[in-house]
Amino acid sequence: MTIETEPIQERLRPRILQTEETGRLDLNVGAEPEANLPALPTGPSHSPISVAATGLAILVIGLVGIDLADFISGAFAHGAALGMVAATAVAAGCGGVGYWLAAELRGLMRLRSAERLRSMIPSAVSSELKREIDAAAKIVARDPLLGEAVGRFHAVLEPHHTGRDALELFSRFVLAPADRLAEAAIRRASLQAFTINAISPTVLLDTLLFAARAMRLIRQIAEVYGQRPGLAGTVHLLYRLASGAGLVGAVDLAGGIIVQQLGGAVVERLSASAAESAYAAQKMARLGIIAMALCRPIDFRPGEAPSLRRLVAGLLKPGPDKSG
Amino acid sequence: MRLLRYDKLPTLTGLVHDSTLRLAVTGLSHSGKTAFITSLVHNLISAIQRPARLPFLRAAAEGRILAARVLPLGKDAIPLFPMQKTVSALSGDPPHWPPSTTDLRQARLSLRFSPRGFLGGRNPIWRTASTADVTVEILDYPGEWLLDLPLLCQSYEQWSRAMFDLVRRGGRAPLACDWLDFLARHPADGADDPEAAFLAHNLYRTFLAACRTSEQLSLLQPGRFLSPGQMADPSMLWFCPLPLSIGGQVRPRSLAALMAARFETYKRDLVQPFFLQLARDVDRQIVLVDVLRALNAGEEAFADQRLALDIILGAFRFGRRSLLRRLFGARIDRVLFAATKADHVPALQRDHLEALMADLVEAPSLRAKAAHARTAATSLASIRCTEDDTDIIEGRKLDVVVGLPEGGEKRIRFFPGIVPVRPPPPGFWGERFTEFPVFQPPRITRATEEGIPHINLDKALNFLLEDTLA
Repeated sequence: MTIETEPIQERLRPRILQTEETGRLDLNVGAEPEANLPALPTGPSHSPISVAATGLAILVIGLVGIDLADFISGAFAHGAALGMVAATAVAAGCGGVGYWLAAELRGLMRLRSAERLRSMIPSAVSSELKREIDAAAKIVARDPLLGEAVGRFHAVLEPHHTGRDALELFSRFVLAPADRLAEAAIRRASLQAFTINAISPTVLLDTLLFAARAMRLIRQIAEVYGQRPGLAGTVHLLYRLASGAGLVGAVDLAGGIIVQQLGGAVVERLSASAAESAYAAQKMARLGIIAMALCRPIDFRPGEAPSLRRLVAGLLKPGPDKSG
Repeated sequence: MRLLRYDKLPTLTGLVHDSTLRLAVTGLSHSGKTAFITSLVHNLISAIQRPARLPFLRAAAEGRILAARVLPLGKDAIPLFPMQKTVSALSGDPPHWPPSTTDLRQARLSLRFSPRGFLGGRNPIWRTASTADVTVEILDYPGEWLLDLPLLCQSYEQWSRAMFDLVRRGGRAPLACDWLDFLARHPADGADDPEAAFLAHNLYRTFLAACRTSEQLSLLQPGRFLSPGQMADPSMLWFCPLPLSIGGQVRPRSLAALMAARFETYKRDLVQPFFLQLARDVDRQIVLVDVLRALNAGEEAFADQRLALDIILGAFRFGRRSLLRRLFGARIDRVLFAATKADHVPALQRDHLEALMADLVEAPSLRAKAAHARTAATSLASIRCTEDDTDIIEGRKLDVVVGLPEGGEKRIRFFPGIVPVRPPPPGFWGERFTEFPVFQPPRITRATEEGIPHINLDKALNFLLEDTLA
């Protein structure tokens, strides 16, 4: 229970204030609010690394810009038509790079936005909490498969609901289906990791294929939660995954040990190779759970995180489908 | 040829899940029992079309409630809750509050639902085939009747002395003057004059009514003096406590003897059968408490309400349900304590109201938990009449609620004061606030698709029905 203010010793008297407003209130369930994208944080970063990176980027852009300007002026020296072609080619190239950079930046910002929300929600007071959850809903709504779930959430959320109510409804109506989609993706990836390990002829190939599938899984999970990371976003996610794995790994530690020890031991009796494959599937599932915890706009509450045992045990169980 | 109706045959799921659940709605007068029952029935029926009305009731939110209908009179012949009348009141123009509970009544609701788990399922075909029915019997009665429980183990002399101890204290004393003057002229050991007994009863009843209306007091015995209900012989109520000396005997054929005889008849013919029925029939209980009104009415009213609650909750047997216990009388395995009129406080303070409610019923909650019953406390507005807003009060921006007062044309903004999270210390109480606003209820349509706006009704229902609809 969230108690946000201390009771005031000297009680402020109750009172009735007259107004000039007339007419009944419309207390019916409101229409679904429009799902605009949340405003992204635009605060500047002043860390030494970012200042150095900015300087280097300016240097590279400057060098490339001067070279391109030379290239265009050289082309114009050979004739106006050639100059126009060179300028158009350079403009197209710059546009393409700019578009790619913008997409990368947008993906990264979305990721950061989700991370910011996750850090703010545990300490948010009731009124802030509703705002943060609304922002989280808008992030998740980017996943076309979850648009309907977000719509249902907006349909049930009423103005009188408190922040805690909104969190509960968001978990129930939006995050639960999103979690199911993510779990299905993890199961598929785990099954493929099992197969890759079983059939790959060399350890190197096995490792490369496992890494590629893990990367794809992380991106799939990020997409489930509406983040669609680009290259920079994926790198950021991998960095967070590496730094947060120890912390988040505790989520499934108990389940993991049981599966690893009991499941591994049983399977090992049947085949050492199959045991290795089972272990690879388990590693993939563990990675997926950690990625879920990182990409979810709201942290798992007690009892919400999927257990490794359930994911690995349900490898052959069909789940809600998502391409990939 | 007689056709076999396959659709009338019970399904395997039905054999496992079909059940009857009896829910007692307990609360003192004006605590919102009628509004709760009306909203519960109306919203459960509307949840089939609009699950968004009850998002916290899992079965409704998951679309597993397939049908709901109000059932006719049951075998036990308890009069039906006047659902049509209450809906008419709320759908009138302007809408108004339905009349309060004055007698024992029952609403019976049949719910068809699709259970979860291996006997339910997500497949629509399997879902249709694997339905179950639950009959929810909602027992409605004046909460004041429960205040009579201690009478069952008290003699007339003991009860009279206890009442006189109360009468001489606090806000009761000035209100009892007329009655006490009358008793001074008609001593207890005087002649057993039925006329004098009747007049004394009337004056005592007027005193009790004044305690309720002007002092907002709750512990007013006997409970049926203010909510008599239907009875064959009203003369069995014509008694009142008399000032009896400690250890003194009631003289035969005296006024005290006449009163004592009627007191015993009252216990035997009205109180005892009611409690026997209650002990036999109830599985779940919701206790509705108008905490906010008592809080604003002052320290004495607040303490009195707490005492009345303790007495009321002493009437119930709590414990986990089992087949063996069913044979020897039902036990209540879930109790929900709800602070009503949650729409009179803005959202931020509803947590406070909930915490205060939990604190008020801490002792009975512990008793219920010790008997392995589940308890919970919540704030609740069965019918929501207001919206939240803010206003500047004494230079501070404060949350208020806005609504149309009943009978008024202009909206008012109501600031309910700061609701404390636990029973407040003596320094907290200031001047009493008795102009507690009565807001006009929202106008509902007679069709059940729309439902009734509420606050936390779905949470309450989920707590009370979750396992039954699982």
